[in-house]
Parts: sequence; structure tokens; C-alpha cells
Amino acid sequence: MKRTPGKGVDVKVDNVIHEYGDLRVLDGVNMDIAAGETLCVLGGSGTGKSVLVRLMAGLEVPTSGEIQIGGMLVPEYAALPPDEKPFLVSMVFQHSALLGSLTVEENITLRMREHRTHSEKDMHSICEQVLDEVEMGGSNNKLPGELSGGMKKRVALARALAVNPDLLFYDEPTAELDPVLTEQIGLLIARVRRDRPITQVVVTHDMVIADIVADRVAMLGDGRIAEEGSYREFLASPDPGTRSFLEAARVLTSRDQADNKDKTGKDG
Amino acid sequence: MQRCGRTVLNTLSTLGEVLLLLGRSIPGPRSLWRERTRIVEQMIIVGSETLPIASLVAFFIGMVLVVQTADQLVNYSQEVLGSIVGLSMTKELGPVLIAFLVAGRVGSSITAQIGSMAVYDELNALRTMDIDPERYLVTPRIIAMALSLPVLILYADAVGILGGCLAVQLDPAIDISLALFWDNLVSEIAMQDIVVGLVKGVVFGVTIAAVSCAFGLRTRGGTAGVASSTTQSVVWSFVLVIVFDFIIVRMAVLLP
Ligand SMILES: Nc1ncnc2c1ncn2[C@@H]1O[C@H](COP(=O)(O)OP(=O)(O)OP(=O)(O)O)[C@@H](O)[C@H]1O
Ligand SMILES: [Mg+2]
Repeated sequence: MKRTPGKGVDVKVDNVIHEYGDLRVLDGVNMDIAAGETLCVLGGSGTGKSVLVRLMAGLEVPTSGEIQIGGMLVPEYAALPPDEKPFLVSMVFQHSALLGSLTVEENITLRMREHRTHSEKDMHSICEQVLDEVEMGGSNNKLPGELSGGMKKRVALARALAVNPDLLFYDEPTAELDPVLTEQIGLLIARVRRDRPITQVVVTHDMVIADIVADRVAMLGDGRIAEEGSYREFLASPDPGTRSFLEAARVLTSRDQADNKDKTGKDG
Repeated sequence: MQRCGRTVLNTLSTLGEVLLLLGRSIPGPRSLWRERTRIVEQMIIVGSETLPIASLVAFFIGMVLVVQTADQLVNYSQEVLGSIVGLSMTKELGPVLIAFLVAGRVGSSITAQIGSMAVYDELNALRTMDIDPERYLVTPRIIAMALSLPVLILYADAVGILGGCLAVQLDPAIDISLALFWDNLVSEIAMQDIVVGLVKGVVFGVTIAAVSCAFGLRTRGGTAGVASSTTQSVVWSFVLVIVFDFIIVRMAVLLP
């Protein structure tokens, strides 16, 4: 099957329940992600965001429920031989997950090299292109150990883009980064959204990222999607769970800030 | 009683895990050819990690063996010294010595490496690239160990015997000449004895590699998890090496 590269596929999560022993992490998650959309899944620490994204990427199998990507069940998709996949899925991991013994270029071209899908020349030019895309040009021969945390994240994004994915998952792409780097990564993801018509699912607890990249946000709480909508709608949500998440994330709407000023005014 | 039962169950399930991994990772000729660069890379690692320390230890073991055995033989005849030292080295000490060194140096680092790859999602990253971590990481290591251990064992045998010769020459407590020692050694060691040592090498190599990779792959729980699987994998390698050693020796005795 010949694939049309980087066109975006939809994702359907249907009543997914996931348990570890007695611990029910996901308790009936339903979600529809349209092709070409960038969705941010928000939620506090330990709410099961990483678990959900691992399930969608086919790295784990849900206890019950189904997940479809591009109209295909995840296990069916995973069982296809690498060269018969009608579309490709990539993922950027929380700790970058670059292979330490390989150089930046070897990491980026790993999939193409292992499956012999491209010539040396093509692999090199794709590598140059994606490194430019994440503003890491010239670091081809560095080892991951020589890079800073922010640089590793960029290379991890470059590696995910190199396969020309139709669906791209991010698990906490800005974990352990300072606010400046966080914003830079956010802008990179937003640039991918602008330049490539692919579906992106960004799992994060970082409101800055959600603000910069999301077409839509979904809030994960108590094992379910508690709330869905645009970033603006989300900020104004009356839902107590969402409110406490927002408070914790210290992203207050201007009205909230005004309220706060009133309070301090009264106090003073 | 219940704890005892659980220990037995855990042991059996670990054994099963290692065996299944082994079954899945033995390559056909085609993938063997595909993996050739990674196999050679791994063989170089095994060799360079083990050779210096193996030389030193084998040399001293050879000398100790001569001095110790000669002392035991004082009241009999030291003429058989050569065969005793040669046979102990080729059939038993060479293989086990190398297996322990490789388990300690290479096996532990395989577990630590694959374990930290598991903990930091690098194995998952491979999976999302449609690369099977077992084919990519385990197969080359198993083949490399199966090929390098016999070579290392031959080398350790030679160095050990060399150490023995030196001891015969220099130790005043030893009455026999170096020529007599050597003649006795050469006349008593049959091809079969060396082959048994090499078979042990292949079996030990596969065992250590499979155990080390299995413990690496099952690692969970951050750096603490990596540390605990590394220790466990070394202990398991030691135990299984000794068990297989016994089994092979017992079978070799039955051979004509
Ligand atoms: N492999 C596993 N085995 C057992 N429990 C697990 C496993 N993976 C996750 N959990 C549990 O599932 C829950 C959700 O974990 P998850 O990693 O998805 O949280 P998260 O929302 O990604 O949090 P964070 O923002 O800190 O990354 C936690 O309580 C965790 O302990
Ligand atoms: Mg997480």
C-alpha cells in the first residue's frame, strides 16, 4: 500500500478503561480527535495522561474499550508490517528517549535505516531538513549526552518528524524545562501545526503550551474526560475540578486576576 | 510455607521468561546476516571488557593450580602434574572463570543499559519506530556472547597453562622439569576435553546474555529499579552457569 505522507488521521477513543491491579487509572475515557487537529490533554500529576497516550500509541493494551486511529483498531494497526502501514504514528517522550549510543543523525534516521526505506542520501537530507525545522542544524554528529535538556527535546521532536508522521503524540514535551524553553518548544509544536496538516495529541499539565498550540483542550480528571472545548472556554469553565487545576497551574483569567486585586485591595 | 511457594513460583516464572526470550531471539540465517555489524560491535565490547582482567586472573590461576597441586602430590609423584593442571584448566576452570568474569563485567552492563533504556522509554521509542527491541538489542548480544565466550575460553586456557609453566620453572618446591610437565600435559589432553570446554562456552554465553537481557527488559521503577535488576541478573547468571556446568559435565562423562 502506498501511503500519502503526513495528511493527518482521526483518533476515536471509545469507553476506555485501564487498570493496574486494583488501581483503576482510566474509568471510561471517550474522545474524538479530528484529522489535522491539535488537541491538548490536560490534567494534574498522576491522573493517567501518560497511560492514555501510551494506550493510543499502542504501547499498552487497555483493560477494556477500543481505540481507533485512521479508522483502524490500534492492535490491527500495530500488527501491520512496517512497510504496509497506510499512515505513520510518532511519539515524543517525556524524557526525550534518544538512544544514548547513537548520534543525533543516527537517532533521527533510525527508523528509515532499520527498515531500509530510504537511500543514504535521502536520509541525510531528511535529517538536515528536520534539524533545521527544530532549529538544531549542525548537531548531526553530537551524542545525546552532549546536549542540554532543551536540545534533547528538540532532537526528539526532529526524530518524530523525520518519519513524516500523520499522527504525532507528545507526552509532557516540556517536562523539566524552564519557562523560556517551554515557550520555545510550544512555538515549535505550533509551527508543526501550521506547516504540516497532521493530527497532534499533546499531553501536558502546562497551560502555556496549551495556550500556544491547542485547537482544543480536553481535561482528564477522575479517570474520565471531565471537560472539552477551546482554550478560552476552558479558562472560563465553572467545573470545580477544572478550577482547582487552573488555580494550581496559576493561570488565571484576567477576571480572576481582577478579583484577586479586589481582595488584596480589601485586605490592605 | 507460603513464602517458600512464592519463591519457587517466582523462580520458575523468571526461568520461563528467560527461556521465552531466548526462543524469540534466536535468529534465522537472514536476520543473522542483517545484524552482523551489531553482532561484531558487541563481540568487540565483550572482548575488550574481559581480555585484560581474564589474562591476569587466568595467569594467576594457572600458577596457583600448579603450586597447590604440586604440594598435594609431594608424597606421590609430581609426574602427573601436567595433566591435572591442563585438564582442570581446559575442562573446568577456563570456562567457569571466563563465564563469571563475563557475567560480572559484560552481563551486568547489558542489564544496566537495557534497564535504563526501559526506564527512560527508549524501548518504547524503538517500538513506536516499528523496531522490535528484542531483535534490535537482544539478538546481537546473544549471538555475540555465544561466539566470543569459546574464543575467550581458549585464550584463558592458554594463558593459564602458560602461568602453570612459569610456576613449574620457577618454584623450587617442584621437582619435575618443564619438559616433563609439558609432555604429560600434551599427552593427556584430548581434543574432546577442549571441545567440552568450548561447548560450555557457547552454553554459558547464551545463558548470560539471555538472563542479562531479560532482567534489563523487565526493569521498572527508575534508577533504583535498574540497580536491583543488575544485581539480580548477575546472581542469576552465576547460579545458572554453575547448574549448566554440572549438567554438561555429567553428560560429557556419559560420552564414549
Ligand atoms: N506501569 C504501571 N504500573 C502500575 N501503575 C502504573 C503504571 N503506569 C502508571 N501507573 C499509575 O497510573 C497512574 C497514572 O499515571 P500516569 O503516569 O499516566 O500519570 P500522569 O498523568 O502522566 O502524571 P504526570 O503528570 O506526573 O506524568 C499513577 O497512579 C501511576 O502510579
Ligand atoms: Mg506523565
